[in-house]
Parts: sequence; structure tokens; C-alpha cells
Amino acid sequence: MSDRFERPLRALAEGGVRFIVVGGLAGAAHGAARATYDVDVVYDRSPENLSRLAKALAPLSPYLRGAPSGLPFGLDEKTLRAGLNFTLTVSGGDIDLLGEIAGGGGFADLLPHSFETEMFGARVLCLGLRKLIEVKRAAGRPKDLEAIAELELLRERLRGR
Amino acid sequence: MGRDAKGPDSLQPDPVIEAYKKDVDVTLLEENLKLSIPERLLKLRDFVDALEEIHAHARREDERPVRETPPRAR
Repeated sequence: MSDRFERPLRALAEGGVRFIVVGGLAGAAHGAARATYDVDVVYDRSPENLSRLAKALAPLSPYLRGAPSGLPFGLDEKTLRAGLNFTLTVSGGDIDLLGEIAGGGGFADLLPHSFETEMFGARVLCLGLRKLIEVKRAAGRPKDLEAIAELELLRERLRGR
Repeated sequence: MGRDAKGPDSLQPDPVIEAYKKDVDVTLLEENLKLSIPERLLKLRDFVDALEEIHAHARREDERPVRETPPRAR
């Protein structure tokens, strides 16, 4: 049994990081049946949250996914401030830290469209279904078309109840 | 929070997405909707673990040296 989702989510939640789960994991929370392998989160870009985020992930040895080993990379507050979106590999799994997403904006924009739930024992914020569909539509990636169809069917079923 | 859980607003249908809907196995979605969110996520984790195991097995098979079959005796 892997902890690819659990470890990064718990680290963020226990570290008091302000973030919203988006992407495939949010889709699965709404009932989508598609496999996803990483954790995608939109994080609050406030200075105190960047500091909490860096501290929370440090024990998981975050590193740039797909980059050659040995690069002088460290995920600290300064690095987070200088960048926006980071695709990282951490102990046991992968995580995408997103400062903003197409069609959705940043943490503050998405917060009114999110709800609190439990994921792998951690209390987290998850993006609502309608907004999740909107951001996936806005991303305009062909690979998302099947996922959007699935999410819209879920929404139709939920609204029909 | 929770503004978009259920509302009168509707998304404009996209003909491409509508076409994709025909191929979605809705029985899987309906099964998932019977579960709680934590249960759906545990199901996802088990599914991904199983996929990883299959991929790892396939990789090991690919890397195994091919043995020549001895000629059959007549």
C-alpha cells in the first residue's frame, strides 16, 4: 500500500499550509474513476504561507521532477517567492504546487469555490465540482477531454438527485 | 466555501465534450457516488497501486533476457 497521496497531503495539512486540492485527486473526490498519480494543489502565496509550505515539505526532500540529479535546488521561501508553479517529486510521490491555474486564478479566487473534506486522514480544502470543470475546460488540453466528460456526467447525476 | 456545490447555474454544453460522454462508463461513476469521499480516495489509491504493480511486472518481463528455445528432437 503506497502513501503517494497521503504523505504530501498530511505534511501540508499538519504544517498549517493554506492550499486547495485540484486536478485528478479532486476529481476522484467527486467520484471520477480515472487514475491519477500525483497531488495537485493551489497554494496561498502569502509570505507566511510560503514559509510554512517550505517547512512542511522539507522532510519529504522535494526535488524538481524530471531534472537531472545533483542540481543545487532547495525549496525554501525564496525559491517559492521567485517562482509560481513547481512540479516536484517528494518521498514516495509527486506533487504539483500551483500558484495559479488557468480559468481559476490563485488561492483567494478559488477559496469561495472550495469545501473542506477529509483526504487520507487529513482535513483539506478541495475544489468544488463546477469550478473543477471550468478550470479543466479553460486549460484546453486535449488529454483532459475525457476527464471533463466524466466530471460533467457526475455533476449531471448530482444535480438530478 | 461551498458556493458551487449545487446551484441554478449551468455550464454551456460543449459539443466535443458531449461526444466524449458517450464513451464514459457511467456504472463506475454511479458506484463511486455511493461511497464517501475518503472511501473514493482509498479506492483510487488501491487502483493506482495495482496499476503500478502491473507496470513493474511488465517492465521486469521486458528486461528478462530472451532464452533460445532448444530445437525439438524428432
